Order: sequence, then C-alpha cells, then structure tokens
Amino acid sequence: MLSLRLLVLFIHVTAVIVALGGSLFSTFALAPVLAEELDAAARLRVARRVIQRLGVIVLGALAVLVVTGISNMEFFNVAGPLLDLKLALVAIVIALAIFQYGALGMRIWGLSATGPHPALVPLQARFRSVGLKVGLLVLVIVYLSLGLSRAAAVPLALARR
Amino acid sequence: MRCLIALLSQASLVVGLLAALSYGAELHTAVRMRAPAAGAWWNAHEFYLMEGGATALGLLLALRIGLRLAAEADRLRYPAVVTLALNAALLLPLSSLCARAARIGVDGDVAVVPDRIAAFAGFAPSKLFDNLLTAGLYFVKTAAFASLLGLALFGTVLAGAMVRASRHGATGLDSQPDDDSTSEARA
Repeated sequence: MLSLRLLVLFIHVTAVIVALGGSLFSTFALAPVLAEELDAAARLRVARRVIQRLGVIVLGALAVLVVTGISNMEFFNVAGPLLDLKLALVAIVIALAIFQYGALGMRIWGLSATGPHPALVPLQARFRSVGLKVGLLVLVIVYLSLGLSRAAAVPLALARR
Repeated sequence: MRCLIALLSQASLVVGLLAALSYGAELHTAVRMRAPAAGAWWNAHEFYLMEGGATALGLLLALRIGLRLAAEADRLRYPAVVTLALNAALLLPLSSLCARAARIGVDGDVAVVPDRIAAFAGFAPSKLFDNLLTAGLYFVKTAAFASLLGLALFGTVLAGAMVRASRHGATGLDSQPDDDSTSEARA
C-alpha cells in the first residue's frame, strides 16, 4: 500500500482531477451562474479573479502531471506507440493552456482593468473555446492512460498464472 | 532576450549533434590518434555532452514556443529570464532524467533495421548505421522529453509571475476588493 510508486501515481491522478475538474466547473457551473446572477461589471470583476486563480492552478497541475508522468514511466517501464501518442497530446495540452492563460487571459485582464470593454466578448468566447479543447484533449489522454495501465498490468497477470 | 535564446539553441544543437555523431561513429578514435589526452577526455565526456546538448535544445525550444504562445507575458516581469535561469540551473539533473526516460522501452526489436542493412550492404556499414541511428534516436528522444519538461517549467514560471503581478498590482492584474464591506474594512 505505502510505496513511492503508488504515491507518485496518486499525485499524478490527483493533478489530472484538479486540472480537469477546475476547468469544467468554471466553464459549466460558474460562468452560467455568474451570467444569470450578476451585472456586467461585477461579473467581469469576478471572472478576472477566477481566470487568474484558475490559470495558476491549471498550469501548476500540468507541471506536476509531467514530472509525475515521467516518474511513472520509470516505475512501470511502459513504452510504445500509445505512450508516444499520450505524450504528444500532453505537449499540445500544455501549449494550449499556456496560450489560453498567457495570451488570451492576459489580454482579457488588460482590457477589463477599467470595466467592460467591447473587445472582451469575442476574447472570452475564444478563451472558453480553447478551454473546452483542452478539457477534451485531457479526457482523451485519460482514456489512453487506461489503455496503458492495462498494458502494464498484463505481464503481472501472466506472471500470476 | 530572444536573440540570446536563439543563439543558445543553435549552440546546443551543434554541440549535441557533434557529440551524437562522434559517439555513434566512434570519432573519438580519430581525436586520440592526433592528441591522446584530448581524445581520452572526449571519449569520456561525449556521451554526456550529447545528453546535455539534447536536453538544453529541448528546454530552449520549449521556452521559444512558450514565449510565442504567451504573447502577452511581456507585461509580466521576467518570465523569460527566470525560465532561462531555471533551465540553466536544472540542466544537469534534467539531463539525467530525460536521458533515463529516453532509454525506457529500448530492447532487441531495434535490431531489425541493421539486419536489413547488413543483408545488402554488409556487416561493417550496418554496424555503423546502427550506432548512428541509435545515437540519433537517443538524441531526439532526450530532446523531446526535455521539451515537455521545458513547457511545463515555463507554465509554472508563468503561473508564478501571474500570482506575483497580481499581488504587486501590475498593470491589468490589480487585485480588486471583493465587495464594499471588504474595502471599508481595509479603510
């Protein structure tokens, strides 16, 4: 039960939950409620702070994912085309997240510093769109991970027979 | 800053590829014949120079990609400088990590290609080609893992810069009071 390998795997899975869960909550729960309950100025003020915090959380979680993922590769000694595809998708996800928060998010912050701005609506729509793409790619990566974990378990199952 | 990163990228590519070529083709022997001490040093270090060059190249490529993607990051202070400094400080441990990751999964299956080369070109050319292919793939895989880590590192630095800027009230990232009661309490 208590081993470094299991701990690293636990941190890896937790980082996925934090990154994906936070983005999905923000997109499908928080944003619609803000739109219904608050006026434009207050909604913008809240949205700016949420974007900033979420950016820190998502980018930090992705960094943890990469480090623990490489450690998992060493522990489980898994390699192959499936893993290569997963790693390529992870690189795309990180690049999209950097674009989402480092370019779009920063532009939203700059424009919204003094209140609502006409250029904000398309920027926010694009921010949400990129966020959805990131979420979808993370789900695909999770699915690939299931395939990898089953591939890693096959030698163990064969050894037990 | 971007010129410096481009220059360092080119330098790491040249050093890494030269070391990979030398390691694969055993060119250290030629150096030994001219200067035995230098040849011995090169033989002892060419593998690590290959690893270090590949890792540096991957980290710098990731930094360049990150700076292009986060176009507005110039408004925050020093994310490029901090990332470059961290890349330099972490180069040695990351070289070891990326090289270990690149070696995972390498087994006897990679011997298929040299067998086919040997079938029509002979044993000696196939052995040379096998060594060069192995060194080249190792270089590329190490650089790829370093790119992934480099992107993650840049993302972390960007996140830290965002937190720092919001606390220090940089342009467009000022912390806003939550509501009127909070601002009254602060007054």
